[in-house]
Amino acid sequence: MLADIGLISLVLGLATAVYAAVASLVGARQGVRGEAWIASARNALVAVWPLLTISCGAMIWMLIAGDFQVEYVASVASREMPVFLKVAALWGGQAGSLLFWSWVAAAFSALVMFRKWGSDKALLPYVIAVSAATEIFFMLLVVFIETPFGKLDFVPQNGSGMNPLLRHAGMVIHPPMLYLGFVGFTIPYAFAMAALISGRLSDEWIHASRRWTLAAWLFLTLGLVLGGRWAYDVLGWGGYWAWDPVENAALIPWLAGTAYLHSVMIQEKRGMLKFWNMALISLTYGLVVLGTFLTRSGIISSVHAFARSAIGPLFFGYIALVSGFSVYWLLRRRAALRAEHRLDSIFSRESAFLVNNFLFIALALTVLYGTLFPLITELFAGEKITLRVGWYNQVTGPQMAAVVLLMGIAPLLSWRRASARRLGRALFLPTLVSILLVVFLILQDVRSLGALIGFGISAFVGLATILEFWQAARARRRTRGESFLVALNRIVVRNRRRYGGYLVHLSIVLMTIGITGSYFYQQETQGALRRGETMTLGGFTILYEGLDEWQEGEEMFVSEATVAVYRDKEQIATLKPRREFYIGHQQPVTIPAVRSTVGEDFYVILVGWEQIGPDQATFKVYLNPLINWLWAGTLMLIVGTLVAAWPSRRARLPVSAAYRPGMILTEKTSIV
Amino acid sequence: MLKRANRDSRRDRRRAGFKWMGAILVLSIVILLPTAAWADDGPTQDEVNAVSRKLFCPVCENTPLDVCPTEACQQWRDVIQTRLVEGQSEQEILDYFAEMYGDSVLAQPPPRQWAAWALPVLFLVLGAAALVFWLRSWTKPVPIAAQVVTEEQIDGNQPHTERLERELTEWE
Repeated sequence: MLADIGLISLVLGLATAVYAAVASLVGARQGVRGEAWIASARNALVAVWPLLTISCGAMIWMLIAGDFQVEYVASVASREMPVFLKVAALWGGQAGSLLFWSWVAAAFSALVMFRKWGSDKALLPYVIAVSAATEIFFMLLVVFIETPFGKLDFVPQNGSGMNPLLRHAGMVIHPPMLYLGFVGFTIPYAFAMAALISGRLSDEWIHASRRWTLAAWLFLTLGLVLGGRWAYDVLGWGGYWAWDPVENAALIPWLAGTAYLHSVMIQEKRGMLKFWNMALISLTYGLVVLGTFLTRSGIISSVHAFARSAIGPLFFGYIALVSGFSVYWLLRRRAALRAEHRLDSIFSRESAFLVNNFLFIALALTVLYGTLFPLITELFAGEKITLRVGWYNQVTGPQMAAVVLLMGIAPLLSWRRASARRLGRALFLPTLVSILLVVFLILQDVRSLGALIGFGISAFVGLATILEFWQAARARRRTRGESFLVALNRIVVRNRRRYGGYLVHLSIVLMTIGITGSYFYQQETQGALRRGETMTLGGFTILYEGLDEWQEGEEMFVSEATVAVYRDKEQIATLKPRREFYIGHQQPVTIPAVRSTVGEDFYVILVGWEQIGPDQATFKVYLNPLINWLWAGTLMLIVGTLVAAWPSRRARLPVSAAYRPGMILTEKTSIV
Repeated sequence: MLKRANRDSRRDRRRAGFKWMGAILVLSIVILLPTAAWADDGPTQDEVNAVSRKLFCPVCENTPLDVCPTEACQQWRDVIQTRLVEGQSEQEILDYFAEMYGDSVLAQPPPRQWAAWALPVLFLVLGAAALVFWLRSWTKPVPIAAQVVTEEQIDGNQPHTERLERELTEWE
């Protein structure tokens, strides 16, 4: 019954989206007289959202109630699962994730429809058409290929439950974040295509879609980091990034999207790179679809292989369609996309942005190439060769370091033509400090070149960025006599985009410190301990106190060791690393126990234990220095992005309060 | 009761592991070796891990061998242990696995997979070339007075400066 409601609602949603696409195009063809059609298309696109909400709601209801006759419910849910996991099971399997994905897409499109269109009304019909087309594609998959509403001929007693690896609080938020990020990039793409098709090629499409792009970028970033956090907490290998194909599938569009986020600034400021920006957002969207394809088709095996199926060819067709469509319109409008200005000097902010784009795109292509390498080698050499972490670190490390370094220099270059003397003055202190830091580290016996570069660049960029805040605030304090903190606040509020961006840059510096520390200075050791025996790693000592084993419900066995952690002969923590064994799935899950501080994580894994005989267990222990800087950096990144995306009060001021010639500028009426 | 069920399930898993690796002769030899191979004089677990970390088994998706909890990977680690006892070097053991199962098992691909590096390097070279080309063709010819200043700012651009000077003389 509920399954039928869900399916019917989904099909209605599909039909509505098709109508929205057709009606919007009809309306666009009829010009002024087509307004009614466009209004109707807009309403239809909004209506897809509630329809899919009913569909998802029905599925969630069935997951919670345990309607195991529905095949999808039986495959991802079980009676024993807590409610929040039952809800998360909506995206815990292939068919459900596609349904959820469609819902997210519908939500995004509906929200876009609610914005004030005002002067960019000409873009509206094509934004509707492109958004609807994306929704149609995903709904087609859900209706015809991977429906979660299919029923079994019998009613199983219980479901098999979600993949044990996915039963983690991070699982509840990580996939939705990724989906929001992926789907979010549909919106700027839709605006770009709308601008191309309608021929309204000024910057309005960029302004109109800027916040959506930032939102998509933020969600995608959070999805990536949360995925890393989930791996760190659940997979039990002491790391957070494995260059897994599915991780790469999200990283590649992120790289392209980040390039786009930067290069649109040149177009806004200088009217250049119009063609390139269009191409870049099309590429990002294409990579999003490709990423989904890689994730969902199982064409490249990964730890995420729970998401396999035969939807490959359809995806391939869709990617071809999207690429063809984008390329066609780009070429058709290329004459109108010429730059309004030329570069004044190679030594300028503009060219720094170009170098940024070059690095990001090279990174994206490199990671893409590595991800597809098994397919390529199978095609040309007949043997599937998978590239592993060693290769990825080698080929991406230098470019990443270059990107971070550029982050410190580029914001100091002025537009059009930079002055070497001013740049030198601004960079003097950061350079000096970072050199001193590197010398200090060498004296402290840090010998790894990578670490020296990583920390040196972090110090340089961090300081250069902080100086930007400091100098602006100081200048304002001097002219206005405000206190330093007030001045700091004012400069940020007055130019949210710039200083929000700088905050994001600072957060990347924090993350770089975390990555450098944990990558170059991770220590580990493994050993078997009898009860009462100890093992030492990097100043920490663990004492094995005992092992408990019990069964939890019908579902799993738990083996949990207790170890006391000592430092300088003083007990600082008791950790309980455990191994869960899921009976139904015949799958072990290693849950590490971690003691976290700002300086390092002490991370203990229970590797194995003797079943009979001496009370002995094997532990693997990691010391991950500075890793928490990575997570802290992420929090700062959220703040920075929100600052950059927050609507500024100036834009909301009623016309009467705006500046008129002759008006006296006071603190109240001006600037804020 | 609990212990037994646990043991049973472990046995099932081991059987599944055997099925996977059953065809492999070498491993079946290893299985005959005592599993409690943590002999006092043998290589330490850290030494085994040091090699394992550089390997990925073809079955477990993208999980390095030193942390993979499956039975199949335990057997691979036993192989490494045995070979270390036999006095083989790390490289010899890595070579052995690469020869048996292909280069995919190596965390660091060997130089014979040169194609893996060729394209990334090409991306960089072509990208840099395109960048330089665009920058040059987009830069507008500036008034000569300004050009002198610009050229001074770009350090070490010798041919440029020479050309500029030549042009300046001609102009005069």
